[in-house]
Amino acid sequence: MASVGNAGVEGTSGPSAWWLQIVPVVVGLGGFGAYATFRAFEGAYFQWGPYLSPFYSPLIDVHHHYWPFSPALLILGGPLSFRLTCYYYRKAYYRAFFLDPPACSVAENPSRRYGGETCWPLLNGEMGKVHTCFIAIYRKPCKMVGIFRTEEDLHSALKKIEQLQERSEQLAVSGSRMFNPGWHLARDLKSMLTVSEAVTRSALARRESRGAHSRIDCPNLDAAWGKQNTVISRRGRSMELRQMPVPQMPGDLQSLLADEKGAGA
Amino acid sequence: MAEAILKIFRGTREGGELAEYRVPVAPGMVVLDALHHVQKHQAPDLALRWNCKAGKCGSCSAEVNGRPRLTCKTRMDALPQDKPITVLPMKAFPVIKDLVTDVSWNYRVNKKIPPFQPRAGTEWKMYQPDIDRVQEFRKCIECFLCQNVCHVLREHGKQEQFGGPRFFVRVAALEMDPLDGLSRTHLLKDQLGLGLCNITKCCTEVCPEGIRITDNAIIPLKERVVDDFYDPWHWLLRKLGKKVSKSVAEH
Repeated sequence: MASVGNAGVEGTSGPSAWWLQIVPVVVGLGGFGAYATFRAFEGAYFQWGPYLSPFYSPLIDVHHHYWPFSPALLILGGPLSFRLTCYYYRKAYYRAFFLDPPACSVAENPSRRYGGETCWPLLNGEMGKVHTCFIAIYRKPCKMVGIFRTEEDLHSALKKIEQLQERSEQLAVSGSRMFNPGWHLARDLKSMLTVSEAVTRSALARRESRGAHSRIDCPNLDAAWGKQNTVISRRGRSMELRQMPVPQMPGDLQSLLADEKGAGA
Repeated sequence: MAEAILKIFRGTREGGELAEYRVPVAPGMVVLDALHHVQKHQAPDLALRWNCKAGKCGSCSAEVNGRPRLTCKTRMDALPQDKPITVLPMKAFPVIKDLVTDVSWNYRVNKKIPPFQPRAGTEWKMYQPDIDRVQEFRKCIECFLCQNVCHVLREHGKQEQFGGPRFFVRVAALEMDPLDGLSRTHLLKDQLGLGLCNITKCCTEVCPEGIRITDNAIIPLKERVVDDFYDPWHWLLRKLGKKVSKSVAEH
């Protein structure tokens, strides 16, 4: 499986100016590397007064009795191998000098073979329109059938819902069914409108304030409403509201509740 | 109100293009909010995965201005206001539609990893430092941004040979658990291709949970693989150890 995803679309080549991250490494570390290589092979000018270049410290066979090359080469192998195998530095080497990867989420040359750190010397690193309708439902009645309600608002919400019900007859979905929230919404819309209407009609009938239902025009709790539920049923194309008495609480629950009240008092 | 221009990938596996949308920018808005705005007002069929809107479910991964990110944790005001914001699906996985990609390859890799297996006669007690070490790996929300950014998968397409940072994190959690009795170094070396990682640390850079994937999971695992397969000193000790235990058994 090659990289598929968004390949080939314009603007996919990763963050712009990614090269800014590697320029300091190439200039600084690269420059030091070039300079250090030159000084190491030079084999001269490594002492000045009491000072000795670290590349030549300690002095080994400076007069070339046994080693014909620069003595620095005998010393530098140690720190160099430490540096090359250091996990921390390898990120800088791979990014800045091998461009593999040049920076995160930046495209690389696809034709290049990649072995990571599996071969010597790296060996595993020790080496439609539905939505306008939806928004209308969501926003308009939400404003009008919120927690604080008035008769006037509820009436206009009801009118709005009726208009939306008419509009929903012409519901259409764009795009395919795959991952299409609009399609789900189209399926849900009828029920949502029905529930919205039921909530609004019940809120209109309940001329009191109770819990999350606050009628600004009827601010007081009405004891009679505490004893009845609103039951809504369909009659033809319209809704019918009836008030039914709240079912009697079973005896065992009643006693439990009485206990709790007693304990809380 | 300020307005942002979003360029969102619209299309399927067969191909697609960047579509442009204009979205009003509100204070504190994140890219996921902007995508939802587009979905609500302009493109109801825009496909995107999201769930918690709080950076904990790992569903809304995408590439914002070329960087793999959780769209719910990318603030609009952190992006350049004068340029269009590009939102693309994750590149390392096949697109299903728009911003939704097929990440099922990850679940297949996950099945290769043998789960926690307690040592025989384990005493169920752990020291706090051991818990802390493993706890870091447990923070993973499986957004797969690390898998997406890893160039071994993204650029070199080594899905068949390589497990990816997410699963090195999972193996690390198991390997470093003092109560676990299994060794998974064979699996790491041969099936999960740990050696293919060249520790360039992009996985750590994109991790929304701040897991130090390279330093705390991958490098210690590489060292375990080295210990078991490449270290001559360990090899010698193992040989000697075998001989000693053999001669002890014979006598």
